[in-house]
Amino acid sequence: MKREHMTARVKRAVAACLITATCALAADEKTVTVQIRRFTGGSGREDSMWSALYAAKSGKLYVGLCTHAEAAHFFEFDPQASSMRHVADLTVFKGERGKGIRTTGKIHVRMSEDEQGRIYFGDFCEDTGPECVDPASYRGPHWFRYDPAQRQLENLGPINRQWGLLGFVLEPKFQRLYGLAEDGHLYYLDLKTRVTTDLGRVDDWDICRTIFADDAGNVYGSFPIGRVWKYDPVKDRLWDLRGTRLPLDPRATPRTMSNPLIDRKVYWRVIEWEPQERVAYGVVVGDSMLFRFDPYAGPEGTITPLVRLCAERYLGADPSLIPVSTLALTITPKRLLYYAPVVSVAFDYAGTSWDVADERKFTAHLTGKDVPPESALIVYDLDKRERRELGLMRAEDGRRVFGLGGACTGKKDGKIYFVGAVEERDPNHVANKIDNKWPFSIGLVCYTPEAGGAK
Amino acid sequence: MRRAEGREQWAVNGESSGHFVRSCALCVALFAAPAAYAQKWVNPNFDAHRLDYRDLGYPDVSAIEADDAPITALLTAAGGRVYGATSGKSASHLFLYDRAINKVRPLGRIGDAKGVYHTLAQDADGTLLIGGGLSMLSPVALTQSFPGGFRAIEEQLWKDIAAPYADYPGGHLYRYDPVKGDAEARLPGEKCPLEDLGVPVKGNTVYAVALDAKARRLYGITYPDARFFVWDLEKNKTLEDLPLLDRKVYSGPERTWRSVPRALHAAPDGRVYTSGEDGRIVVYDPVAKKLARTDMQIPGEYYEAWNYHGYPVIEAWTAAQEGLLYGASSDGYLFRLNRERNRLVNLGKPRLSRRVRGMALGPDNRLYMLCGEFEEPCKLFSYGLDGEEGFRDWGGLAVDRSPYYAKRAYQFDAMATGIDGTLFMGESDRRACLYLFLPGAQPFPGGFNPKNPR
Repeated sequence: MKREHMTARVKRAVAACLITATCALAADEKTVTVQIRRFTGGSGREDSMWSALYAAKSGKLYVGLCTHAEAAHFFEFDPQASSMRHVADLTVFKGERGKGIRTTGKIHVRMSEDEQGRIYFGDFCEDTGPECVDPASYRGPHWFRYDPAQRQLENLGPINRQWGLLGFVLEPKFQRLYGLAEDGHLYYLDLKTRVTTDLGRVDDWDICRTIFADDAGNVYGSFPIGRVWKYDPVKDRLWDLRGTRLPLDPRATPRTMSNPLIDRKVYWRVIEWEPQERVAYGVVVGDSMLFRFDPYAGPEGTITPLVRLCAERYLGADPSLIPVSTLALTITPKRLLYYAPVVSVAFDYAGTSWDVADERKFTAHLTGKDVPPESALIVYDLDKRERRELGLMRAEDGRRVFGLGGACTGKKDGKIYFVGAVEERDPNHVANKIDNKWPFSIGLVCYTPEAGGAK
Repeated sequence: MRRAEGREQWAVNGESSGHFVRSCALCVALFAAPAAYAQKWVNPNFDAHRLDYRDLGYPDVSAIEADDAPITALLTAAGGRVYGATSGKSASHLFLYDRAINKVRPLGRIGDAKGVYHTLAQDADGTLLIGGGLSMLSPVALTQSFPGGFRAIEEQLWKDIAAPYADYPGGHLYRYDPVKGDAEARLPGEKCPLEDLGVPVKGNTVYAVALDAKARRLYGITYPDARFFVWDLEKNKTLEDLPLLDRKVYSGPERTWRSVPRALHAAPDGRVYTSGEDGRIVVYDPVAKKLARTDMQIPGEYYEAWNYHGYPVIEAWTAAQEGLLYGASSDGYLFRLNRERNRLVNLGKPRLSRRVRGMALGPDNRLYMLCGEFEEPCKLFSYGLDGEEGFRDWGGLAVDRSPYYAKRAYQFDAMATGIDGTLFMGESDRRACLYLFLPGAQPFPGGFNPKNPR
């Protein structure tokens, strides 16, 4: 009975979605032209990227690419000189290669920068493996600092014994690096004393991917269900905000038979501090709802829902069909917010655990044959409160842009940069295939607002 | 499996649904060849409905604040209520689990204590004795830059560990009367009605206690000075204050703890058991009023080939059959002590890593243990006292009652058996909850929960 009800509901939603999807696939579908550049100097086989894209004051970009069951790579890209520099393979830098041990496969955080222009980040292993190597062999995650002037990467010390970072921010007022680790604990490194402190557990099993600091030095993150925690460095206390909640649409979750049903769909996916307005803008995982979080309004701060940033085709559909949101968000100095949702399930996370033993086989049975997951580009004007979809991203040669894992705004050129999976036609550069069908490599994607390019 | 089959059927038979899935639900994991898994949910390796948890009060109203919630002591009282105490940033709190209402109720802040670590006991009149102090779970900042020299590392380590106690007057002993105190629920910040019995050892946290109600003596160990004290419950004063350890050693996986025994057992004959130097079983004789070192050594890693003076310490005691005492060492070993024969048998260890964070006897003739170090997920193990089953790995401790609630716990520091045989497990992370495990669970064939990703 219950299943019949579900099926009917899904069918209705599906019908609506098919209409929009069909429209979207029509010949007059909007596209937007972007430039794509390869990452060079690394392994050439990096296969993923999450959050790790930062635009420095110098105008350069810093990128962390991941390789499942292998190595994380750290890159520097100078848009002015159009030069890509591979700074480090972290498994080499940390002396992990050739040891038969678990390795640093990811940089999973958006980097930060200090007054001297030095770049900070933390690394990550747990879910990358190599999966057949003893977990106890892992030497643990570390804090890192890169000095572009000296071209020197420095290990600032261990974060803990096991758990790498998913959320990260440099807080300048108190001179601390904050890291949200995979054990759900919030750690900080005091840059003056070089001492790392575990502030305790703030998250549950599926960790919030982004945290932020306000300009008073408080740090914030999100946890299920629709909750927000705040760390106050003056009082040295963590608070779970009682009345300030994320705008969750009950229709947007659960979307599948995921196990458990309470997972990352019920907190924010990505959030960014907007210094002019002194508020943060974030996107809810489940339905891509953009919200404004003013931490200074009221005793606990106030959250206001604004608009969904999902691809246009989903705006009129059942919210349960909206793909899980992405980490690809950036706000420009002109207060334009750019966001790259996918038009089908998700980039790094399906939001679908089908509750079967062999998910791969089961998924393969369900997965389509000829429609790859592509990224759209949305722009939202924070002052006018207007959203516009520029179209599906396409390279000048027609290559498709699949899922994107991060975004930033060039500090000198004002261009919008993304990093993620792009269609790869050269067999020598294929990092992997999406669903064993669509070959891709990881690329640096650039959109030039002045040039436009929307078709 | 039924759900999986149902879903598949829906996808195949539902024409429009199938089209939808094919056209929209793509790339379940984008990089399909080697799946780029997100974090894995892991259900326990037994009937999952036998595990649940309770919040420490009504969330956001009466619940103990998240920073103060880590549970570090549990006790099942004679009447069946389970009492617990927390260790926190601002205060330690007392709470009870009332089996009649299936809820936890906060009972208020415990004096000026920030921690209560393994220090709950019930007196013969039903009142509770509580040993307070600083929170053992508080981070200790270790100095990185200090003058070098002979043994400078150890000396600085001790200075750092002792630093929080520099101006600390000492943890108090308290008495709580459930008859008077249980009737009222208390909101965060409100004090628990307690009788302050005094400070047994100045400048120290009360670290472990054992009660001999008949003799009117409460025995205790303190931290960080490793004192063994005897408290007169009639006169409310310290009768003995003896050194338990000679050396300061830093054994085990904790890098910021001095190795001090964490458990005491008061036997029916009046003698009190713990461990001491070189991991030897140490016995306090109430007649001689002395601590005596025995020839029995608790099992652990002693690193004989190293120039090393350390040793493991006792973490937990559980009395079983007459005269038999089960103990767990900080290196994660279980052992059986026959007090009458002065015989100690090493039963091995269930987990590669160290620590037994909680131990309690189940109603099914199994000894249950919460095993695991800081910074790794604790797991539940059992040891069959029939001698046939050995150790059994029950897996991680995660509860999935979604969409209502779900939680995966990592850290535990207390365990107690309810009068109906339910095992109560005190989570010791921030935002901690009281976990309940109903023994009688059946493991899955092959060991693993078949719904966990592999």
